[in-house]
Amino acid sequence: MTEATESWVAARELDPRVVTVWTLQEAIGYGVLALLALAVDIGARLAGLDVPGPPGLVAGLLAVAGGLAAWWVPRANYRHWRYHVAEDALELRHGVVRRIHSAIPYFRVQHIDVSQGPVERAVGLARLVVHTASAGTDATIPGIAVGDAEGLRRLILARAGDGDAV
Amino acid sequence: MRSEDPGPGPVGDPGGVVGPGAPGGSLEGGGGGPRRLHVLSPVFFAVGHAWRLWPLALLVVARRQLWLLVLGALVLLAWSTIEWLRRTYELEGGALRLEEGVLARKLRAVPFDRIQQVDLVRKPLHRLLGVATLRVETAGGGSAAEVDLDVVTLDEARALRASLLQAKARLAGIPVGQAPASGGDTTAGRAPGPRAAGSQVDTSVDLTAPRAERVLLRLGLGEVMLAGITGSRAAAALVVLGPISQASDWFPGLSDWLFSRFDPEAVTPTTPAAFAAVAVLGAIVWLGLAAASSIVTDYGFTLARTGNDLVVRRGLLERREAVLPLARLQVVRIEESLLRRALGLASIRIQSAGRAGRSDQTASRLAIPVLQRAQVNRVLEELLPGAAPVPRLLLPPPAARRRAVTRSVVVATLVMAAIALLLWWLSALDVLTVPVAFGLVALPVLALAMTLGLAAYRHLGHATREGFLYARVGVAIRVTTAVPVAKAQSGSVRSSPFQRRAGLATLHVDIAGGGPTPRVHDESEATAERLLHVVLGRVGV
Repeated sequence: MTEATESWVAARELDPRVVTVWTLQEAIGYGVLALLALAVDIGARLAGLDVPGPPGLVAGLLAVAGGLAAWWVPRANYRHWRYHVAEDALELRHGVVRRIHSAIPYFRVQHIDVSQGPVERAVGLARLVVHTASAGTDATIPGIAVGDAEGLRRLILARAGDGDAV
Repeated sequence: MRSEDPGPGPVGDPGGVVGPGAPGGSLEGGGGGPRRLHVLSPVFFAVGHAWRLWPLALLVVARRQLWLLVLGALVLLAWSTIEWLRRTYELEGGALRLEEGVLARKLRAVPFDRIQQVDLVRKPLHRLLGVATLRVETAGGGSAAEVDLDVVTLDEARALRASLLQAKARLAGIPVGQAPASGGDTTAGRAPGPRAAGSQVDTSVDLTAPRAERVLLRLGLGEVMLAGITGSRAAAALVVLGPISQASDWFPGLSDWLFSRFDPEAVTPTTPAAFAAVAVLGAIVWLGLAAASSIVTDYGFTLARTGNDLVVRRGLLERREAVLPLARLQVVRIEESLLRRALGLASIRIQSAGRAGRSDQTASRLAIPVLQRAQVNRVLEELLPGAAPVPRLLLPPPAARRRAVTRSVVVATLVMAAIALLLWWLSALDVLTVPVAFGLVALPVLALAMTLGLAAYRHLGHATREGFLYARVGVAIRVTTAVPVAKAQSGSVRSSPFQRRAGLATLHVDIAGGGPTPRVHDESEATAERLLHVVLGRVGV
């Protein structure tokens, strides 16, 4: 346990591969949006409606803006993400526009999820979600290597202590 | 996948329960590696999925494409089987672990001592097949059960429940059999289900002995009426008046009959005095309705303390009683609207966590509709011992005043700009002509916005004292929140770009149970961070 304790002492960055995951997720989202816009555009033209501008203008703009956002947002998010496994609490600092520094005392932890979406599974990352008795608790650490997530989960539960934590 | 050793989990009680016939191994030794649910589970999964897809099924049936229905059912069953194969549970490392998911994977770990409730649910179909659903709940903030084992054999379910409750009881140092977690059978359907041997009755409370009741607050008829007149019911009374004014639509003959009786010329107010009289009469009817609706719900409002419970009784036609164990009370909010401040009144709302940490309906029934401001501290002390009196609150730094005023002025400017744009557009269309001098109205509006911004700043505040954090916000309705630091689940310091430029931040305190998150607005970043340490219990207050 001491070894694991030592390795988490300093504030940590997320695994860099999370940028790939986020970029892909954002790109898929904007891609779907652009395709929808294109479908509506073509549909309206086929229906004989007078749509201003050349065909695919809106979809193209959406694709360009989405591409920029999908590139920039994940990188900015990554730069601002830190988590720190402190002595008595899990502390997270994240957010680009709205900055959030949240702290969750271990003894309040009710249960922990380690979740993986399909993309995360492909690159070997996981999300650690810590639940307390309050639904408002902000405690999701995205982008941890699967092995680390498991270790962190055990560490937090070991520190969580006894009792029902309410 | 199977581990050879029993694992460090405390489940492996030698006198423990062995689940015979459990698929994939018995409970013996506690660990035993991950297990799958009952072989019939895919059927239950598939039924669950089909239940959500019923509109599609209906469409297919309507088009008489039965083969498609059969194909769909087969696909669902196949998918459910894969889900079943990919879903395992295990008692290991002092926690119940559940792994699930085909494309997205999720591993959930629930420590035994966090388990609040273990329910065994048996629907008629379950009973027919000799299986059961085991629901495990913690105090987690979500609405669904944290772990839902759907389905396992009845023996397995009982053994699991016994193991979980035993492990929890041992961790809590309570003799087995008196574990605080409930373990009752929830038997759905009419047929009498077999009562589990493990079902427990809480014997720690002697229900027969009458307990002394101490009345903390009793509202007289006048106060109850005042609550309606000064509260939100006065606004709600308009909703009642609305339909009455439209009664002529429902009874077409009514207005003719009225006109035949009363000369409309005589009834319609013509002089200013008559106008005033009608207005006063309307106001009286309106306030009367508000007072009446308040009497119906809150007549004879009594707040009392019985042992460690709070009891509230209220109601004219239907007498309602709500009971809340004081230990579940999380936060007390003192609300004072502008009108009530002027009259020296306030109201109190409380937030509580239910048995499983969820929001509790009793809390809303325990709200105190109105009380004299002089009594607030006395009642607060009863609700949260040590919290009263509310200390002198500290104003945020001057940067918060600039921010409050700027925000108010910017909002007013934007709203006025929108109105001006609309008026200009309507003038351009020759719909109406607005003199340019009308723009002078902007000056008093801006002055008002500035005053409101200042007022908003002056109503902010926070304080800490002996285990309590106090926060205040709001002009129209000023809300002072008293948070016992020991009830904080977690906390966060948040800042928008505007706040950061002014060196400010807002502290959020997360509390069990639903309700608004207590916040300390626009404090300096250093103070907000210090308060976060207080919330975490790192520094005393």
